[in-house]
Amino acid sequence: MVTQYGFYFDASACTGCKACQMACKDRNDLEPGVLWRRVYEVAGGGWEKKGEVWVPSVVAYNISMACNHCENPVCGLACPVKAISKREDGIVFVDTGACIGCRYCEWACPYTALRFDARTNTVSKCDFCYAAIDAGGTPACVAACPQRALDFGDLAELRKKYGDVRRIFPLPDPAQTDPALVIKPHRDAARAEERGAEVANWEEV
Amino acid sequence: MLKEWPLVAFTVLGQAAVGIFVFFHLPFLARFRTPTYGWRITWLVTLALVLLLAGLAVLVSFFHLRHPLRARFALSNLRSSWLSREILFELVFMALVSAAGWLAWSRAPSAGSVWVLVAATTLAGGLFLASMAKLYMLPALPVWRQGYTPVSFFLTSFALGALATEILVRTVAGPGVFGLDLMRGAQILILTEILLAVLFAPRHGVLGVRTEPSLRPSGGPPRLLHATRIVLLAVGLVFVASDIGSGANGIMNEKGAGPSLLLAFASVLAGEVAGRFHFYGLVGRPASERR
Repeated sequence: MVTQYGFYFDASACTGCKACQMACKDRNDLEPGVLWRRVYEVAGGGWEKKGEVWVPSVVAYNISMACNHCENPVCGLACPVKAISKREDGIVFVDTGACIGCRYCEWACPYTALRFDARTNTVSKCDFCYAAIDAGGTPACVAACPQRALDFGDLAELRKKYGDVRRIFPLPDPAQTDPALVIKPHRDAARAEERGAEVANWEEV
Repeated sequence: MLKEWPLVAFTVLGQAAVGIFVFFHLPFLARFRTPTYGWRITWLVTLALVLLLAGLAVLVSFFHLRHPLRARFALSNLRSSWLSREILFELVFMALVSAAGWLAWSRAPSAGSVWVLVAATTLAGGLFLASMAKLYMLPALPVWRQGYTPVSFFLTSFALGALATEILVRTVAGPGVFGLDLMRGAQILILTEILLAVLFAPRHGVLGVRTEPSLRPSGGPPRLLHATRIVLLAVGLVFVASDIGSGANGIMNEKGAGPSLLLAFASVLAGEVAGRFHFYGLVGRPASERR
């Protein structure tokens, strides 16, 4: 039995098409403005002089990010009414029937996974499509990715298969929450911070 | 940022309530005495005001909840949620203030029981403020996770507490009779607050923490809000100095707070509110909230 589901994201393969984002919205019937999975466009750099020659130093890549169903879910620890809990298979979910709408978890989550839903007046977030998973299916985002940049499964298996990178710029220190996430970094990610990269599509995420 | 007004009101009112309680009782606590003889009316008025402010804080806090009726379960997660702990300590503080009020009203409390009750209430108030600060010191938010957060919360509490207590004492008991120089204390507290804000206020202080790249929108409060806070506190400081200079706290004066003290309180209160809006503006909400 799976004890901790996790996501795998291949940043080197992601084209930023946002099919994952749209599939998630479609599967979960999310209101406009509520995004359980988001694609961040990270961009920076410009030109730099090497000797007598100016060469481009642009960095640009995408990060597809949802709730990482952390092993140490700080959102749930912060919730005053225990509306956020973790299933035996590691999936973290919000009980919207118990949520008081204080939105403290929005601040606590470093991945900004918790999103306020004006329709229910509660926070909501990725539930790993647990209904589909329980029926032997696949999360909508993973199924929709044309690049196969997303995968899911038992976290231990994902780590065996893809390694243990959990952080690329500008993701937070994984020690904060122990995210159930494995990343294959884009080649630009290592130079993003020094080249002043930042998220370029705040209005979309 | 302006949408966080219930939290601004809750924190400032709650901190003022604790500050007034602490400053009124400080001389009595320090001398192992109780405000039973000669101070009963002032004591009752002070406790009533503290309870009123704490109650108002609770009331406005409901405005930031989208399901306020479910708030009755907010003590469910005392094991790990600082928000639950904050609510618990506020309720304990209010209950103990009420008990002190009952003792003050009953006219026959023993000195020991009053002293213990006042000490316990002060402790509950301190824990209320500490948990209020701690709940914002989240690992995910470096701009809040620093010593400046609790220090600024306690300074707000003490600066407003000192000035409000002086107003109460002068109005109800009369000038120059309290065993603590609250105006000098307020002067030091406000000056400390201004210096710390100039140096260490996140994002806009000279040495303040800057926002790091993250998955959170970087927005941020306007620098004008930070400047407004400092100017208002400085104006308050001038009025405090003016009050001290004019000898308004002289024992020969009539009862009443005097215009300088009232203006000092109003300026400092406005400065604290501006500072608190700046504080909440430091952390942006995701896109859905900005619509």
